[in-house]
Amino acid sequence: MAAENIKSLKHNLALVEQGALLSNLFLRLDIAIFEYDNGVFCALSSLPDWFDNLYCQQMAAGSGLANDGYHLEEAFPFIENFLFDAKKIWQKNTDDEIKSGIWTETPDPLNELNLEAIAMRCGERSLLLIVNETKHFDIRRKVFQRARDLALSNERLESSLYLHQRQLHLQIEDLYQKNQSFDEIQNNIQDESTAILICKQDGSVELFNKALIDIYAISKDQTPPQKSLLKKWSEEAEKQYPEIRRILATGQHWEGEFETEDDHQRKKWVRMMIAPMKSDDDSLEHFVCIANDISNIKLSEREIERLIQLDPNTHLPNRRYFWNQLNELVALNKKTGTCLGLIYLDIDHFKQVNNELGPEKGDQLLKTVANRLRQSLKKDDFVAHLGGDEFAVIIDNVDDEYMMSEIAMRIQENIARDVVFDDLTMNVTLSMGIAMYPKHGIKPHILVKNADYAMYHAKELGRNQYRITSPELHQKVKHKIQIEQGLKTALEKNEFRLLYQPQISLGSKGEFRMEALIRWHHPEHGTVSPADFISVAEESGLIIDIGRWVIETACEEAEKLNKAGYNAKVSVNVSAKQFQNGQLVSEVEHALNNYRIDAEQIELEVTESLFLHNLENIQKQLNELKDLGVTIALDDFGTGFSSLSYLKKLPIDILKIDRSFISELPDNQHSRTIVESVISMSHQLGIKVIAEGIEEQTQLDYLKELDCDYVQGFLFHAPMSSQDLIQLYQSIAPIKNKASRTKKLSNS
Amino acid sequence: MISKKVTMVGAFAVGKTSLVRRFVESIFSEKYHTTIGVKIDKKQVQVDQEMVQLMIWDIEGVDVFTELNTTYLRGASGMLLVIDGTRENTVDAAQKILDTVTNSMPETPVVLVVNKCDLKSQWALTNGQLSRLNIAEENIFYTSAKTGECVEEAFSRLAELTLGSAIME
Ligand SMILES: Nc1nc2c(ncn2[C@@H]2O[C@H](COP(=O)(O)OP(=O)(O)OP(=O)(O)O)[C@@H](O)[C@H]2O)c(=O)[nH]1
Ligand SMILES: [Mg+2]
Repeated sequence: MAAENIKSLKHNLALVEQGALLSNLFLRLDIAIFEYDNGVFCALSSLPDWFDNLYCQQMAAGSGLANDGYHLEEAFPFIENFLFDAKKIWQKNTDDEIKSGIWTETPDPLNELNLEAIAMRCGERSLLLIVNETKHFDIRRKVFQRARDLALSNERLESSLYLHQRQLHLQIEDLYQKNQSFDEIQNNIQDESTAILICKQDGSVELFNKALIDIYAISKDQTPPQKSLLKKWSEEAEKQYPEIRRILATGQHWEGEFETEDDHQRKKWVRMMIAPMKSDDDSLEHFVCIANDISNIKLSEREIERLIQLDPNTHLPNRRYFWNQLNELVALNKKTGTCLGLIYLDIDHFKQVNNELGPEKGDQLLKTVANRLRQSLKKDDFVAHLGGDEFAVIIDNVDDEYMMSEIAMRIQENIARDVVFDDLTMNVTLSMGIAMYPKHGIKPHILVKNADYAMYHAKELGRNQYRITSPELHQKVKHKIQIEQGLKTALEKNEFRLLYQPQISLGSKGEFRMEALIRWHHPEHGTVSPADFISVAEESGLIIDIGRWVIETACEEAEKLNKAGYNAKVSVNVSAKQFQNGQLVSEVEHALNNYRIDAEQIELEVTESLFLHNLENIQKQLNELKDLGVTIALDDFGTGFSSLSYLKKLPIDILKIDRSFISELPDNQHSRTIVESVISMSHQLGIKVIAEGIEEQTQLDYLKELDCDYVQGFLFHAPMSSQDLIQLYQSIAPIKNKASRTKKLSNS
Repeated sequence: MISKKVTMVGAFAVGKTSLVRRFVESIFSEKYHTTIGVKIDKKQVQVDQEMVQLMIWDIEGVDVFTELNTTYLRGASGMLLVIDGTRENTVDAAQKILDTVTNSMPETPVVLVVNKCDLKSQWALTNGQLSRLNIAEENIFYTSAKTGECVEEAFSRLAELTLGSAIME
């Protein structure tokens, strides 16, 4: 009794501690968290100060913190509005969440809070989180403020230029119409800061002003400018305005902006108006061209782009910027015939850090990695933060892969230093993939894909390393990814089959026994062997569903054989993951009932690696399976840590000697010793033995001598389909009366 | 008292926040402080004999990088669409917003405000440009958040229209 009390007290204490921890956590994360119940919000943790202040301010004095919880919808019209969407989430049957978008509260004129509400359904409970995003938005606001300030002043400049060009045009046209001489017009425009040129339709120059000379840096001895200026302009503008030639040829009005080159081959941006000047009889006589240098505006437009394209946390270029840069650099290297190197980087185990330490520390870690990356590279190298924990580096104009390897190693060294937070120190590592232009792809997206594959491969190989892509690697990774993706739908699409390999009893005649072996018929890759997909299925957890299917199908097969008159035992491989999942026993029970077969007709094959996991738990499940009547076989015996002591502790019925020992029989002394001692030990413990992988008669003879119980292998039968199996049984043990179900043929 | 949600929408820097501050607090600042997300202010106005509490949702302006977040618009009984009379581009932005809004909430009354009318020398709009927005003459106001010109009138009109929409419901 006392012990019970202490236990429950401890339990409660643990709960209280857990509650305090969570509460503390939410405070640290600056989140106010509520549960919504019957129209009222109850705080689930201590509330941050900013929230308390804000709430008291919003609610008329006194009615604030009533006992009946918080009335958030009264205090915050924004929340009132958001409840509409929130309730939809809370009424759902599954866990889900929705975010409100940012809203701003000003508790006092100097302070602004940027808040976001999140409605969440979590284990049948309706939660509302109010997250204080002010710190994050500080950076975003600055970026946006600067970008909009720039955009605004550009817009102003542009529209005033535009207005001015039109006014000039009207003025010149007016003089022209009044039949003023070109000298007169020249006098009027000479000191104008906007460039003006009047020419004939063929481009021959009538007059121009000083500003034109300035834009084009025309040297004194070259004046007047060449006849070809009009042609040059229409060629330059044509890239963006393909219609310009037609417009000019037909004597119409044109306006636009384009990149031009001055006499020293310097690039500039101009905004230009080209207007026809017509005689009284409406025939085209001249063009007036009015231009301004807008290079500065274009530059700051670039800056805006650049501003917006930075990641707000790491201040590195973001994904969009990265793609622009890569496209640009690939085009450049194509022109110059040089090489470019691309590195894709991914922080190892970042998700875990983010989950365990919270997003704030996660951000801090990203910042640290960003800084170290920058330090590892030269000023001209390009580093981008693609989002999440992914980064990319572009090295322009590299010699070879060797040089890229050196850079990757430098990065690796630089990153590997400890990262120190206030209260803990941790070690960061990266996995990197490298691809080279043009060797591994001439299109940017192919290059990226290759670098990404190589990075993935580096992760596979154990992380904290770099890999250079290659066609083989590409193929391999692609194959693996296809397997992964294909596996997800393989069950649904009914792409799995079980084949059955008979196991022959050396002692008693007429015992029907077989191992069920899974095969996957991939629509593109044909038959995929279990060696290629089981580990993938285990990693992704899909093995649980696949394993269940195998058990069900094996039971179905046993039922089928029963109906054909053969009482057979089907042995099924199960994975450690299925034991960890905890549903295995009930799944087996379900399948047995479903197909109404004897538990004895099913055997589960486990491997030694199973016992590396929580042994107590495994033991318990194995005993439960035994209680059902299912038998247990230990597979691959001899390959792992092979401790016979397990055999005493665990309810093993039968043991399979690994094929690697069998294949060396009977000549290899070592294998012989092992096989002999395993069989005799097992028999002493009352455990039977199967030898698998038998291909030679000599092997069989030897095993017979040792009193091995069962044999399995190509010497007898290859794995076969259910149909073939029944045919086989019918050929060796024809049954006339199907009703006679017998376990042993010799008895019938 | 009846409470009505109205929204301030338009391109960035047209003066949405300035109009709200002029209307609610009677102040104006030359400094541009761009809005992030949305901010809600309240003000009571009298329509005929009735007092109406306007909940004014000042929504961040749209630009090349920021689209209008339409979830902010839900439940609005009226919309103040703001244009900057000195910037032609802001008419295009207004047109775009109207297109999205009239699709999702065709009944919402709209008041068009052409702001910064104190800056006559920089005026960039012609009447023709506004006509394509297809808004009734009596719902268009030329305002200045700086001088206060026509600001009250524009909001009053909007308040009136929100009540109208209540009757229609
Ligand atoms: N001269 C003049 N300037 C104004 C007027 N209204 C606003 N401004 C100025 O225009 C700039 C932008 O004003 P805001 O009110 O912040 O514009 P907004 O539409 O809220 O901008 P976002 O929040 O970025 O979408 C500020 O510098 C204001 O001082 C006006 O009527 N006349
Ligand atoms: Mg604003």
